Amino acid sequence: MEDQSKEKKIQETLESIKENINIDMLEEAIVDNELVFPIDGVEYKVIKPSWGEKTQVQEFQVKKYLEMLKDKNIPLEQDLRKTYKERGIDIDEMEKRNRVLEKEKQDAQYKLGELLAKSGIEQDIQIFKNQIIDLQNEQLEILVRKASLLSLSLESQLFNYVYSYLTMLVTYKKEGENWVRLWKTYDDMKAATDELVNKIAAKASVVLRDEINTKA
Amino acid sequence: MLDVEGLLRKLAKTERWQTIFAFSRDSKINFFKNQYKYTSLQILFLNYLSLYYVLNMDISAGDVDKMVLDNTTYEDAYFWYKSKKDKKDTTPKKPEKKVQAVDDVNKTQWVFKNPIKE
Repeated sequence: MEDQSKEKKIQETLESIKENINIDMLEEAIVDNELVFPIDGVEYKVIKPSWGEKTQVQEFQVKKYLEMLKDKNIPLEQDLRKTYKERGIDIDEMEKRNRVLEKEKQDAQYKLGELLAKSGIEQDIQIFKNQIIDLQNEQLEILVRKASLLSLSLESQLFNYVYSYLTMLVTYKKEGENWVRLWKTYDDMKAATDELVNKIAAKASVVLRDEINTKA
Repeated sequence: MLDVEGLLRKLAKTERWQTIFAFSRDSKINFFKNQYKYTSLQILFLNYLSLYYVLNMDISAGDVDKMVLDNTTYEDAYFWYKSKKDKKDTTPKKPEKKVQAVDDVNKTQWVFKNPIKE
Protein backbone atom coordinates (compact mmCIF):
# COMPACT_ATOMS: atom_id res chain seq x y z
CA MET A 1 0.00 0.00 0.00
CA GLU A 2 2.80 2.35 1.03
CA ASP A 3 4.77 1.40 -2.08
CA GLN A 4 1.77 2.16 -4.29
CA SER A 5 1.33 5.61 -2.80
CA LYS A 6 5.08 6.30 -3.16
CA GLU A 7 4.96 5.20 -6.77
CA LYS A 8 1.93 7.42 -7.40
CA LYS A 9 3.75 10.39 -5.86
CA ILE A 10 6.83 9.81 -8.03
CA GLN A 11 4.59 9.56 -11.08
CA GLU A 12 2.82 12.80 -10.13
CA THR A 13 6.16 14.57 -9.63
CA LEU A 14 7.42 13.34 -12.98
CA GLU A 15 4.21 14.47 -14.65
CA SER A 16 4.45 17.90 -13.04
CA ILE A 17 8.10 18.28 -14.14
CA LYS A 18 7.13 17.27 -17.67
CA GLU A 19 4.28 19.76 -17.62
CA ASN A 20 6.40 22.56 -16.15
CA ILE A 21 9.09 22.04 -18.72
CA ASN A 22 6.53 22.25 -21.46
CA ILE A 23 4.89 25.36 -20.06
CA ASP A 24 8.27 27.05 -19.53
CA MET A 25 9.29 26.15 -23.05
CA LEU A 26 6.08 27.53 -24.43
CA GLU A 27 6.44 30.76 -22.46
CA GLU A 28 9.91 31.22 -23.92
CA ALA A 29 8.55 30.57 -27.40
CA ILE A 30 5.88 33.24 -26.92
CA VAL A 31 8.02 35.90 -25.27
CA ASP A 32 11.36 35.40 -27.08
CA ASN A 33 10.18 33.75 -30.31
CA GLU A 34 12.60 30.89 -29.83
CA LEU A 35 12.49 27.45 -28.30
CA VAL A 36 15.46 25.80 -26.60
CA PHE A 37 15.23 22.08 -25.85
CA PRO A 38 17.53 19.13 -25.18
CA ILE A 39 17.60 15.88 -27.14
CA ASP A 40 19.86 13.14 -25.85
CA GLY A 41 21.96 15.60 -23.85
CA VAL A 42 22.47 18.05 -26.73
CA GLU A 43 20.84 21.50 -26.72
CA TYR A 44 18.92 22.60 -29.79
CA LYS A 45 17.15 25.84 -30.63
CA VAL A 46 14.43 26.73 -33.13
CA ILE A 47 13.92 30.43 -33.87
CA LYS A 48 11.20 32.46 -35.59
CA PRO A 49 12.14 32.80 -39.27
CA SER A 50 13.46 36.15 -40.46
CA TRP A 51 12.15 37.96 -43.55
CA GLY A 52 15.12 36.62 -45.54
CA GLU A 53 14.43 33.03 -44.47
CA LYS A 54 10.76 33.36 -45.37
CA THR A 55 11.76 34.62 -48.82
CA GLN A 56 14.05 31.62 -49.24
CA VAL A 57 11.14 29.35 -48.29
CA GLN A 58 8.85 31.00 -50.82
CA GLU A 59 11.42 30.48 -53.58
CA PHE A 60 11.78 26.81 -52.58
CA GLN A 61 8.00 26.46 -52.50
CA VAL A 62 7.49 27.79 -56.04
CA LYS A 63 10.29 25.59 -57.42
CA LYS A 64 8.98 22.48 -55.66
CA TYR A 65 5.36 23.19 -56.62
CA LEU A 66 6.18 23.49 -60.34
CA GLU A 67 8.35 20.39 -60.17
CA MET A 68 5.55 18.38 -58.54
CA LEU A 69 2.90 19.77 -60.86
CA LYS A 70 4.78 18.35 -63.86
CA ASP A 71 4.79 14.90 -62.28
CA LYS A 72 1.54 13.27 -63.40
CA ASN A 73 1.92 10.57 -60.75
CA ILE A 74 1.27 13.05 -57.94
CA PRO A 75 -2.49 13.59 -57.60
CA LEU A 76 -4.01 16.96 -56.83
CA GLU A 77 -6.42 17.08 -53.87
CA GLN A 78 -9.40 17.45 -56.20
CA ASP A 79 -8.32 14.36 -58.19
CA LEU A 80 -7.99 12.32 -55.00
CA ARG A 81 -11.41 13.44 -53.79
CA LYS A 82 -12.93 12.32 -57.12
CA THR A 83 -11.15 8.95 -57.03
CA TYR A 84 -12.20 8.30 -53.44
CA LYS A 85 -15.81 9.16 -54.30
CA GLU A 86 -15.76 6.60 -57.12
CA ARG A 87 -14.52 4.05 -54.59
CA GLY A 88 -17.33 4.92 -52.16
CA ILE A 89 -15.44 7.29 -49.83
CA ASP A 90 -17.06 10.71 -49.89
CA ILE A 91 -14.84 13.39 -48.31
CA ASP A 92 -17.40 16.14 -49.07
CA GLU A 93 -19.95 14.15 -47.04
CA MET A 94 -17.44 13.84 -44.20
CA GLU A 95 -17.05 17.63 -44.19
CA LYS A 96 -20.83 18.06 -44.26
CA ARG A 97 -21.16 15.71 -41.28
CA ASN A 98 -18.50 17.72 -39.48
CA ARG A 99 -20.51 20.92 -39.95
CA VAL A 100 -23.63 19.22 -38.54
CA LEU A 101 -21.62 18.04 -35.52
CA GLU A 102 -20.29 21.58 -35.03
CA LYS A 103 -23.83 22.97 -34.91
CA GLU A 104 -24.90 20.27 -32.42
CA LYS A 105 -21.83 21.05 -30.31
CA GLN A 106 -22.62 24.76 -30.28
CA ASP A 107 -26.21 24.07 -29.18
CA ALA A 108 -24.97 21.84 -26.35
CA GLN A 109 -22.36 24.46 -25.41
CA TYR A 110 -25.05 27.13 -25.15
CA LYS A 111 -27.14 24.95 -22.84
CA LEU A 112 -24.14 23.98 -20.71
CA GLY A 113 -23.00 27.62 -20.52
CA GLU A 114 -26.49 28.65 -19.40
CA LEU A 115 -26.51 25.95 -16.71
CA LEU A 116 -23.11 27.09 -15.44
CA ALA A 117 -24.25 30.72 -15.34
CA LYS A 118 -27.47 29.86 -13.55
CA SER A 119 -25.97 27.29 -11.12
CA GLY A 120 -27.78 24.41 -12.77
CA ILE A 121 -28.08 20.86 -11.51
CA GLU A 122 -24.77 18.97 -11.44
CA GLN A 123 -26.31 15.96 -13.21
CA ASP A 124 -27.49 18.08 -16.17
CA ILE A 125 -24.10 19.76 -16.36
CA GLN A 126 -22.43 16.34 -16.63
CA ILE A 127 -24.84 15.21 -19.37
CA PHE A 128 -24.05 18.20 -21.58
CA LYS A 129 -20.33 17.99 -20.81
CA ASN A 130 -20.24 14.34 -21.94
CA GLN A 131 -22.31 15.14 -25.02
CA ILE A 132 -19.85 17.87 -26.05
CA ILE A 133 -16.84 15.58 -25.50
CA ASP A 134 -18.48 12.84 -27.63
CA LEU A 135 -19.19 15.31 -30.42
CA GLN A 136 -15.63 16.67 -30.28
CA ASN A 137 -14.23 13.14 -30.47
CA GLU A 138 -16.34 12.36 -33.52
CA GLN A 139 -15.17 15.60 -35.15
CA LEU A 140 -11.55 14.71 -34.38
CA GLU A 141 -12.00 11.25 -35.91
CA ILE A 142 -13.30 12.85 -39.12
CA LEU A 143 -10.43 15.35 -39.26
CA VAL A 144 -7.80 12.63 -38.71
CA ARG A 145 -9.40 10.37 -41.35
CA LYS A 146 -9.63 13.22 -43.85
CA ALA A 147 -5.99 14.23 -43.27
CA SER A 148 -4.92 10.61 -43.67
CA LEU A 149 -6.89 10.18 -46.91
CA LEU A 150 -5.49 13.36 -48.41
CA SER A 151 -1.93 12.93 -47.16
CA LEU A 152 -0.76 11.77 -50.59
CA SER A 153 -2.17 14.79 -52.39
CA LEU A 154 0.21 17.27 -54.00
CA GLU A 155 -0.92 19.95 -51.55
CA SER A 156 -0.16 17.83 -48.45
CA GLN A 157 3.18 16.69 -49.79
CA LEU A 158 4.13 20.24 -50.70
CA PHE A 159 3.27 21.39 -47.18
CA ASN A 160 5.54 18.70 -45.71
CA TYR A 161 8.43 19.67 -47.99
CA VAL A 162 8.07 23.38 -47.27
CA TYR A 163 7.67 22.82 -43.54
CA SER A 164 10.77 20.63 -43.32
CA TYR A 165 12.75 23.12 -45.44
CA LEU A 166 11.79 25.93 -43.06
CA THR A 167 12.70 23.75 -40.05
CA MET A 168 16.09 23.14 -41.64
CA LEU A 169 16.69 26.90 -41.96
CA VAL A 170 15.83 27.83 -38.36
CA THR A 171 17.27 24.96 -36.29
CA TYR A 172 20.48 25.53 -34.33
CA LYS A 173 22.69 23.32 -32.19
CA LYS A 174 24.81 24.47 -29.23
CA GLU A 175 28.51 23.90 -29.66
CA GLY A 176 30.45 25.14 -26.63
CA GLU A 177 29.15 28.66 -26.06
CA ASN A 178 27.97 29.21 -29.62
CA TRP A 179 24.84 28.35 -31.57
CA VAL A 180 25.52 26.96 -35.04
CA ARG A 181 23.11 25.93 -37.81
CA LEU A 182 22.37 22.21 -37.37
CA TRP A 183 21.92 21.57 -41.08
CA LYS A 184 23.69 23.63 -43.71
CA THR A 185 21.63 22.22 -46.59
CA TYR A 186 18.35 20.39 -47.17
CA ASP A 187 20.36 17.30 -48.13
CA ASP A 188 22.09 17.38 -44.71
CA MET A 189 18.65 17.25 -43.10
CA LYS A 190 17.54 14.38 -45.32
CA ALA A 191 20.64 12.46 -44.25
CA ALA A 192 19.82 12.85 -40.53
CA THR A 193 17.98 10.14 -38.58
CA ASP A 194 14.17 10.16 -38.74
CA GLU A 195 14.04 10.15 -34.95
CA LEU A 196 16.04 13.39 -34.62
CA VAL A 197 14.17 15.12 -37.46
CA ASN A 198 10.77 14.12 -36.05
CA LYS A 199 11.64 15.27 -32.53
CA ILE A 200 12.88 18.63 -33.79
CA ALA A 201 9.95 19.08 -36.19
CA ALA A 202 7.47 18.49 -33.34
CA LYS A 203 9.09 21.21 -31.21
CA ALA A 204 9.52 23.52 -34.21
CA SER A 205 5.77 23.42 -34.83
CA VAL A 206 5.32 25.62 -31.73
CA VAL A 207 7.45 28.45 -33.13
CA LEU A 208 6.60 27.95 -36.80
CA ARG A 209 2.85 27.82 -36.27
CA ASP A 210 1.12 29.46 -39.26
CA GLU A 211 4.43 30.85 -40.56
CA ILE A 212 3.95 29.16 -43.92
CA ASN A 213 1.13 29.30 -46.38
CA THR A 214 1.11 26.57 -48.99
CA LYS A 215 -2.20 27.44 -50.59
CA ALA A 216 -1.47 27.47 -54.31
CA MET B 1 1.57 15.10 -30.03
CA LEU B 2 2.14 18.40 -28.24
CA ASP B 3 -1.10 20.08 -27.21
CA VAL B 4 0.11 23.65 -27.77
CA GLU B 5 -3.28 25.32 -27.40
CA GLY B 6 -4.01 23.44 -24.15
CA LEU B 7 -0.70 24.57 -22.68
CA LEU B 8 -1.22 28.10 -23.97
CA ARG B 9 -4.53 28.29 -22.10
CA LYS B 10 -2.94 26.94 -18.91
CA LEU B 11 -0.26 29.60 -19.15
CA ALA B 12 -2.73 32.41 -19.91
CA LYS B 13 -4.81 31.64 -16.83
CA THR B 14 -1.90 31.50 -14.38
CA GLU B 15 -2.06 34.12 -11.64
CA ARG B 16 1.24 35.61 -12.81
CA TRP B 17 0.11 36.26 -16.39
CA GLN B 18 -3.33 37.42 -15.28
CA THR B 19 -1.68 39.94 -12.94
CA ILE B 20 0.60 41.18 -15.75
CA PHE B 21 -2.42 41.50 -18.05
CA ALA B 22 -4.42 43.40 -15.41
CA PHE B 23 -1.54 45.86 -14.93
CA SER B 24 -1.18 46.33 -18.67
CA ARG B 25 -4.64 47.85 -18.81
CA ASP B 26 -3.43 50.93 -16.91
CA SER B 27 0.21 51.12 -17.94
CA LYS B 28 2.13 50.26 -21.08
CA ILE B 29 3.79 46.86 -20.70
CA ASN B 30 5.61 45.03 -23.44
CA PHE B 31 4.69 41.39 -23.16
CA PHE B 32 7.07 40.15 -25.82
CA LYS B 33 10.60 40.73 -27.09
CA ASN B 34 9.21 42.05 -30.37
CA GLN B 35 7.03 45.13 -30.05
CA TYR B 36 5.23 44.71 -33.37
CA LYS B 37 4.56 42.07 -36.00
CA TYR B 38 3.17 39.61 -33.48
CA THR B 39 3.22 35.95 -34.42
CA SER B 40 -0.02 33.96 -34.57
CA LEU B 41 1.05 32.21 -31.34
CA GLN B 42 1.40 35.60 -29.60
CA ILE B 43 -1.98 36.81 -30.89
CA LEU B 44 -3.65 33.61 -29.69
CA PHE B 45 -1.99 34.03 -26.29
CA LEU B 46 -3.23 37.65 -26.02
CA ASN B 47 -6.75 36.46 -26.87
CA TYR B 48 -6.65 33.89 -24.09
CA LEU B 49 -5.22 36.41 -21.60
CA SER B 50 -8.17 38.65 -22.35
CA LEU B 51 -10.73 35.81 -22.19
CA TYR B 52 -9.51 34.60 -18.80
CA TYR B 53 -9.43 38.17 -17.53
CA VAL B 54 -13.12 38.54 -18.45
CA LEU B 55 -13.91 35.13 -16.97
CA ASN B 56 -12.26 36.04 -13.65
CA MET B 57 -14.23 39.30 -13.60
CA ASP B 58 -17.47 37.39 -14.18
CA ILE B 59 -16.63 34.97 -11.36
CA SER B 60 -15.91 37.93 -9.03
CA ALA B 61 -19.19 39.56 -10.04
CA GLY B 62 -21.06 36.33 -9.28
CA ASP B 63 -22.21 35.89 -12.89
CA VAL B 64 -20.85 32.34 -12.97
CA ASP B 65 -19.58 29.80 -10.46
CA LYS B 66 -15.80 29.32 -10.24
CA MET B 67 -16.30 25.64 -11.16
CA VAL B 68 -16.28 26.96 -14.75
CA LEU B 69 -12.47 26.96 -14.47
CA ASP B 70 -12.43 23.19 -13.79
CA ASN B 71 -11.99 22.26 -17.44
CA THR B 72 -11.84 23.74 -20.93
CA THR B 73 -15.23 22.22 -21.89
CA TYR B 74 -16.92 24.37 -19.21
CA GLU B 75 -14.87 27.43 -20.16
CA ASP B 76 -15.68 27.15 -23.88
CA ALA B 77 -19.36 26.50 -23.15
CA TYR B 78 -19.60 29.57 -20.92
CA PHE B 79 -17.79 31.79 -23.45
CA TRP B 80 -20.12 30.58 -26.21
CA TYR B 81 -23.24 31.16 -24.09
CA LYS B 82 -21.99 34.60 -23.02
CA SER B 83 -21.17 35.70 -26.57
CA LYS B 84 -24.60 34.60 -27.85
CA LYS B 85 -26.43 36.09 -24.87
CA ASP B 86 -24.58 39.41 -25.12
CA LYS B 87 -25.40 39.54 -28.83
CA LYS B 88 -29.04 38.88 -28.07
CA ASP B 89 -29.10 41.58 -25.36
CA THR B 90 -27.47 44.23 -27.54
CA THR B 91 -29.44 43.58 -30.75
CA PRO B 92 -31.77 46.58 -31.09
CA LYS B 93 -35.40 45.60 -31.10
CA LYS B 94 -37.33 46.39 -34.25
CA PRO B 95 -39.94 49.09 -33.65
CA GLU B 96 -43.32 47.49 -33.18
CA LYS B 97 -45.74 48.05 -36.02
CA LYS B 98 -48.78 50.01 -35.00
CA VAL B 99 -51.87 47.89 -35.31
CA GLN B 100 -54.42 49.64 -37.43
CA ALA B 101 -58.02 49.55 -36.41
CA VAL B 102 -60.03 47.08 -38.48
CA ASP B 103 -62.24 49.90 -39.71
CA ASP B 104 -59.23 51.81 -41.02
CA VAL B 105 -57.83 48.78 -42.86
CA ASN B 106 -61.06 48.07 -44.62
CA LYS B 107 -61.45 51.62 -45.85
CA THR B 108 -60.60 52.16 -49.49
CA GLN B 109 -57.45 54.19 -49.84
CA TRP B 110 -56.79 56.34 -52.86
CA VAL B 111 -53.38 57.39 -53.95
CA PHE B 112 -53.47 60.53 -56.04
CA LYS B 113 -50.63 61.05 -58.49
CA ASN B 114 -51.43 64.72 -58.67
CA PRO B 115 -52.64 66.76 -55.74
CA ILE B 116 -56.38 67.15 -55.67
CA LYS B 117 -57.48 70.57 -56.89
CA GLU B 118 -59.62 72.21 -54.33
